[in-house]
Amino acid sequence: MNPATPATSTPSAPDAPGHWRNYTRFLARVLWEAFDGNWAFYVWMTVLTAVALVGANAWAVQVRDGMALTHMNDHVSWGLYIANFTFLVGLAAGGVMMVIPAYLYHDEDMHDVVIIGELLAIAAIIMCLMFVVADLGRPDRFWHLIPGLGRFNFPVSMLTWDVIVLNGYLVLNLHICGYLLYMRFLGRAPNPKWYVPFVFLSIVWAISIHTVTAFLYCGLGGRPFWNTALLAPRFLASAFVSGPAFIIVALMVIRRVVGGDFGAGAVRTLVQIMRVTILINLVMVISEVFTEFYTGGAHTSSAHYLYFGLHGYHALVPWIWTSMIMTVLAALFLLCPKVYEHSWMLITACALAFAGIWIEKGMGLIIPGFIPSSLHEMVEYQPSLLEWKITAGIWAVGLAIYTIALKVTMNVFARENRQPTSPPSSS
Amino acid sequence: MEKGNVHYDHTVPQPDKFYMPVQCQQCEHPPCVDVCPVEATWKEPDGIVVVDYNWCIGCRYCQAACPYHARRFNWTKPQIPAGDINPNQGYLSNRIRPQGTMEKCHFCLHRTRNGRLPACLEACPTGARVFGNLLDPNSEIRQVLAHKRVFVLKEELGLKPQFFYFFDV
Repeated sequence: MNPATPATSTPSAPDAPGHWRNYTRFLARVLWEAFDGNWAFYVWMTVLTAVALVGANAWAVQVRDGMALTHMNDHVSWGLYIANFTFLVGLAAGGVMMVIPAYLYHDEDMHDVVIIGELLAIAAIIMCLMFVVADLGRPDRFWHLIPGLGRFNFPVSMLTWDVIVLNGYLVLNLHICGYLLYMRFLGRAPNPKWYVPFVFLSIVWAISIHTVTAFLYCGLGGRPFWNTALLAPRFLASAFVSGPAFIIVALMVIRRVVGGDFGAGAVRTLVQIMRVTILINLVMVISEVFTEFYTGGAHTSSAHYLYFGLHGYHALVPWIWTSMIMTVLAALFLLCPKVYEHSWMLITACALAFAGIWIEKGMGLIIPGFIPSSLHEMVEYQPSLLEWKITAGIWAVGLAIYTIALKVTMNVFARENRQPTSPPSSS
Repeated sequence: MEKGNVHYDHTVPQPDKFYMPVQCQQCEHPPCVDVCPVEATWKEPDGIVVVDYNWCIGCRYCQAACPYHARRFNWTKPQIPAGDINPNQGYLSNRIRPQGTMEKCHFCLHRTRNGRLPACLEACPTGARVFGNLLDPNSEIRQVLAHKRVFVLKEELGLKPQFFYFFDV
C-alpha cells in the first residue's frame, strides 16, 4: 500500500464538495487495496465468486421459466428464500449487540471493533434484499415498492414497513461505517456530532427491523402458528445469539490473520451477552411449546407437524430436533467457564448456535406456518436444487461483501498504526 | 381434521367423502388487500376483491394472509390452447394472466357486470349456487339469507365473508 496522497493533501478541508470528492477517492482507493491479498484470500474469493455465478445462473433460469422450478406451491407459498431472509434480518439486528456495550456502556475495548458488527449488518441487509428479490415472481416490477415511484400501501401493509426499516438500517450503517473509516483514513478524530446520534438511532432501528419482520408473520390471523405475541421477542432473543456468534468467529479469524490480541475484550463481552440471550431464547421456546401442546386443539397441528410429524408427514422433524440439540449444546459450551481458554470450544459453540438458529428462524419458522394448509390439507415442502443454488449464491455474495468490508477496515486500521504522529482516534 | 385435499381426482360423489366448495369469500375486511405492499389488489365498490395482474410483483404475501386458500399464483406462463381462449375478456377478470403474478376468483366480472351470471352458476348441475346483490332486499340471495340455515366459514377470524353456505333442512 502506498501512503495516501489524496487524503493527506486536504487534512482539514471543511468544504463539503471537497469531502464528496475525497470520500469517493477514499472509497475507490480502499476498495482497490482490499482486493489485494495472499493466496488464501484469492482462493476464498474465487470460490465465493464461482458459487455466486452458479446462483446468478439459477436465478436467471427461474426468472425466465417461472417459479414452478422451485418446490413452493399454492399451499406453501414461501420457502427457502423467505426462511433465509428472516434469519438474516436477525443477523443484521444482532450486529448491534456490539454497538450497545460500546456506546451505551462506554466499553472502551469495544470501540475499535464495533465497526465489525456494523459491517456484518450491512452485508446481512444486502443479502436480505437479494432474498426478497429472489422470492418475487416479477422482480422486474420491484420498483413498484419504491415510495414515490410505485404505489406504496403504507402504513397498512407490514411489508412496506419492512422496506422502510431495512433500507433505512442499511443507509444508517453505511453512513456510520463510511464516516468512521474515512476519518481514520484521514488520521482525524471523528466529530461525534456526525456519528453518535446515528449510532443511537441504529440501536433502536436494529430492534425495529426484527420486530417489523416478526409483525409481518404474527399479524396474519389465518396462520395460527405465527399468530403469537411471543414471535417478535423470540426473534430478538435469537438474533442476539446468532449475531454475536457470527461476530465472535469473524473476530477470531481476523486475529488469526492480523495477529495480536485484536478484539479479545470484545469476544469476552459477546460471550457474556450470548450466555444470557441463548438462555432467554430457550426459555421462550419452552414457553411456546408448552402453550401449544398443553392447550392442544386445532391450532396446535402446525407445531405438532414441526416437532413430531402429523398424519405420517414429518419432513421438518429431524431439522427442528437438530436445531434444538445444537442450541442446547451451544448453551452448555458457552456456560462452561473454560470457553474463553479453548478457542475450538468457543468456535464450536458459536457454529452450533448459528446453525441451530438458522434452522429455527428459517425453515423451522416459515414452513410450518403453511402446513397444514388453510384448508387443512397436508402438503409438504422440500426446497428444489434450484432454490439451494440461488440461496448458496446469495450467501456467497454476502460473504464476499463482508470479506471485502473487513479487509477495507483492517487496511485502514493498519495504515493508522503506521502513522504514529496522527492524533489518537476515539472512533 | 387434516385429511382434506383440494383435488377432485375421482368421480363424485363417493360414500366416504364430504364435499365443500371453497373459493374467494370476498371478505368485507380482506386481509389479502391489507398486506399487499403495492396496492395491486383491492375491493371494488360492488364488493369484489380484484387483482391488477399488470401491477402485482408476485411476493405472495396475500396468499399467506388468506385463510381460505382463495389465491393462486402463476408459477409458470399460462398455456391455453388458442381454441379455448375466451375472446370476451376483462382487465380485472378473465384475461390471460402474466407469469409470476397472483390471481383469484373475481365472480366473472366480465359477465356479471353485463347482467349475466358467473360461470360457476351456469355450470352447476343442481342449482346449488346463488349469486346476487346483497344490498337489494328483493334479491334471491337476500331471500336465502333470510329464510335458510346459513353459516360463514371461519367466522371467528372476523373477516366478514360475503360468501355464505346454506342448508335447505
